[in-house]
Formats: sequence, structure tokens, C-alpha cells
Amino acid sequence: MAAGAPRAILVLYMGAPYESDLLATLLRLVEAALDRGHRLVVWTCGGATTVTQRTLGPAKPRNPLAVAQRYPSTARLVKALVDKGAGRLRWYVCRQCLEERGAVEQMAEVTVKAPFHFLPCLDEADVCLSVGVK
Amino acid sequence: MKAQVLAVLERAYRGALEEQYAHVLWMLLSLLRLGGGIAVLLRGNAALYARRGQAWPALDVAGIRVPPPEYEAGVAGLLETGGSVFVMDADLGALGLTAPDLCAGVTVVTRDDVGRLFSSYASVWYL
Repeated sequence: MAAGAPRAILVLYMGAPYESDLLATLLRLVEAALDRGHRLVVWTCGGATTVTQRTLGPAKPRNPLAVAQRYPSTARLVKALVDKGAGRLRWYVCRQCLEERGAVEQMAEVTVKAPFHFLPCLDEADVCLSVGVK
Repeated sequence: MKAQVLAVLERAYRGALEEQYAHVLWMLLSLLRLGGGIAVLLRGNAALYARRGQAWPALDVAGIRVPPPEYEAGVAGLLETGGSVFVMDADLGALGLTAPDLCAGVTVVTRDDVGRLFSSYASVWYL
């Protein structure tokens, strides 16, 4: 495959979003890859399954110390990336992990997958990146 | 009146997207404004929270502006509201910082000071 040619990238994102800046790194990486024409699948496991809950809504709760400021939720950011991808970004959420955490109400832009579907995703990818640990 | 609580922070940068405004210094400032007596001891990488003149690069995701956590403003807010902020000197050294690099009003302490510091507060929280 020629250097710079569009690739199929699988990104495995695990771990809780409140432990480090992995989520910021992931979303920036995904957007940069979309901008370069790549196709991506993001597979979330563990605490990462909570960032796309429908119940998060588009914004974080108001900041009592700065009530006029609005802060986007993680769900809104993922939705914006999926929309921007126009079919080139699929965001999968591990059913086992989300059920374990009660994060069963996922937003419409993501797809809930049984754990064993990860292997076909791996087979279809040119590149696989693992971000974080469960 | 002595402060009631000393909060010890060691783990820094817990997720800019998850936190945005709701980081640990924001929580402590909120408690302070509600009347709680709050002091903070910054250790490890959390000593960077007290650095003066921190840059706040904008973060945009798919055209959406994400307000970054403002740790320096959190430290300044604690000090302006009557709180105290301490930083361990050994941690500053490990980060290549010295006292002049810190926000005005932050107090540098040594390991030998920690026992006395702990005994000055009714509660010590490890956050």
C-alpha cells in the first residue's frame, strides 16, 4: 500500500475517561485520521463505554461558578466526529462492558457490539491502535 | 481560625474532556466559597497546577470548542478566597521549577514540614 493511501484503522479505546487525557488524545487522533481520508472503527471497552451514553445529552451540567459558559459532553463530541466522518467513522461499544456498567442507553450514532465481533474488526483493519488499558 | 481541611493532590491532568471546568481544584474552590476551610498540598505532577503563566491552548473537536481546564485560575481562586496552597519543594525540583515559577501566594514546603502541616488541620483528604 502506498504511503499516505487511505487505510482502514481500528482503534481500541479502553479505560475510564476521568483517569487521564487518553480521550482527548483519541478524539484528536480520530479527527486527524478523518482529515487524511482514512476510514476508522473505534471500539470502546471498559469505562470508555460511558462516553457515548444518550443520557449525557449535548452538554455537561452548568458550571455554578460560570453559569453563562457551556461545555460540550463527550457524547456530543463523538456525534460531531461521526457526522464529520460521513460514513468513514464507525463507533462500536462493547455490550459486555456497557452492561457491566449500566451504560445501556447509548446514543443513536454508535453501534453496540457483542465482544466477539472485535476479531472481525481486527481482520478488516490495516492498522490497529490500542489506547489505554481496561 | 485554622482551616478545617487539607487536600493532598498528587495525580494531575485527569482528562481535559471529562473535566473541562469540573476538576479537583474547581471542586475545592466551590467548597471554599460555601464556607469550608480549605487548604491544598500539591505533590508530584500536580505541582504543575501552581505554575504561573500557564498556556491554555484551545481544543477543538470537529468544530466544537472545548473549554480547557484552567488549573492556574483554580489555584488563584483558592488563594483569593482565603484558601492556602502548598507545594512540595522536592516535586518542584523534579519538574525543573523553582518558587519564582509559581503563582503569587503559593507556599513551598519541605518533606519535614508535612507532619506539622497535617496536624494543623482537622481533616486530611487524599484526592
